[in-house]
Amino acid sequence: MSRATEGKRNWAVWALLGPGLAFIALLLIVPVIDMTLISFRSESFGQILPGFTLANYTSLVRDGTYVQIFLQTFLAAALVTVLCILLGFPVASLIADAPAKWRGLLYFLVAAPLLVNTVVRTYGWLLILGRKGLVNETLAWAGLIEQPLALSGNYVGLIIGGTQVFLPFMILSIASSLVAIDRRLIESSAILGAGPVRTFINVTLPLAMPGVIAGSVLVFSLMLGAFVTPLILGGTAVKYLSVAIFTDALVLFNLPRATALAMVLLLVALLLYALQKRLLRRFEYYA
Amino acid sequence: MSEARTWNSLRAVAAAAVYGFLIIPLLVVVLFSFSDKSFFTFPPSGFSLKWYQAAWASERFLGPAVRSVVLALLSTLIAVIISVPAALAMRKMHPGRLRAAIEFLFLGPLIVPALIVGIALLYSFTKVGLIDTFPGLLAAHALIVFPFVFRAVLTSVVNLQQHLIDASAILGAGPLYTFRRIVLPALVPGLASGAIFAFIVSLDQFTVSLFVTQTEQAVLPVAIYKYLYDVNDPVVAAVSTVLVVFGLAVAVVIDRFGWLRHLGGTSG
Repeated sequence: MSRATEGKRNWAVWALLGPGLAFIALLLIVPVIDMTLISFRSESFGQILPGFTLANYTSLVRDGTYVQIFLQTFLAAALVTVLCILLGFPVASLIADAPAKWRGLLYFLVAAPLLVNTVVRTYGWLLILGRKGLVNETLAWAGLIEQPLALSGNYVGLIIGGTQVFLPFMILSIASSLVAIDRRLIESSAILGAGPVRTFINVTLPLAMPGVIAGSVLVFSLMLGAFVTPLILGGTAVKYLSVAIFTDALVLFNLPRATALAMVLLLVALLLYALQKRLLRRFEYYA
Repeated sequence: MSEARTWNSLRAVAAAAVYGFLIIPLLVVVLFSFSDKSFFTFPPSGFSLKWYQAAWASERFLGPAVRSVVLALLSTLIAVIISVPAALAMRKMHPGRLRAAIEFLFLGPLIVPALIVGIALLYSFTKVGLIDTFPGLLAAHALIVFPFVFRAVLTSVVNLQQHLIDASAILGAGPLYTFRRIVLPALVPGLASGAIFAFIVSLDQFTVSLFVTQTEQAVLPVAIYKYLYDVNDPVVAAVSTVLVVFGLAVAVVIDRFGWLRHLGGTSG
């Protein structure tokens, strides 16, 4: 190709990219850079003061409350991920083994809840777990409890709600790995005398790992940044990173501290994305 | 063989319980919306449609619902208009660092948690007076749904066959005619699935909407949250039931096209 056509081609490519790049730059890059700068400023009564400081970051490390927030957020996200694996595996395995005519319906029942508004799904859990919710009313009616159990406005509600909201992603991810397994491997294992438990541990589980790991990274990062479920089911009393950012920004109007917290979340999200990309490439290599 | 049978029945029971766990919050919302009392009772008693009437009469939901639908349609349209040239450009670029970097930027609004987008836009919009305005809300939603359309269109673009475009050119068609008759039809599947997902993501978007609006421009999920916070009676359940039915209807439609399984990373 001659230099002239090459140049013309480049010009056309950049013209096509222009609107998209301008759009992202204006609405994402510049605001995120602004946010980064704000995290190095200080404030007084909601007013940003001149001069730069590291105080917002040093206080994140020194102040025990923030260390606790980070720890509890990570623990909650990890717990939700583990619960999603445990609950998701039987369903994914059922889908993979189901005859073709049932498979569609089984997939449908997993994915359909994803299309219902997240606020609505979380509200459903509030009705179930609230002080006068389904669980407490049922237990009281059966005479099993005198006082209502505290199931919402705390970590219990947050974990249960988060698990239900993100479980479909885990099931779809594990199922895609299980469906790809060569059935002859399972049959060979049985013919060679292994029972179903042994076949599961030695054949199915190792082959399902790509799906489990990909699903785990996805669920963990979604739960880490989740806001709706922690806000509605955990309440503002719960120490959760996203809720703390919200409270600092919109309730206390301390934007520098809110953005410093947000920077930590952004950094972790980017690291998890890089990890996800790397894992995907690795699985493609083996497949 | 009996060990295998036990194993299979155990799995079926566990899976059934998990399916129940996935469905129960939706079921409870629907049941509660028909309750004749304003609080939860067990066993359930009575049947009434009064919460639906109250939701319709209340000024708190209809406006935000209309705004949410208009917002979802317009933000999807903007994302489509920007995505098509962007995806076509990606096809013409050589694979390499630059192409990967640009793809990363275009997927950025999906990679960055919605909460971060919200807080970053809160500050930027405050500076230029876009907070609590419809144009600001629209820009924020267009940004959030853009990666979903871009990703779907990109898949179609990659499958676009160069020899069809060459053939069209050789046969004397101008670039516009080729675009209209060859390129655009090839992009339709990607555009359609991307647009549907974008529409749903916009309707579902709570976090960013909460950050860039105050009272004037409330969208439906935010209106539901605020009502839940202030009043919390079955009116919320009635409004929510409408959204449950809508979500399941959309699920049935996109399942027909075989797209349901490709759902990923839409929540937050």
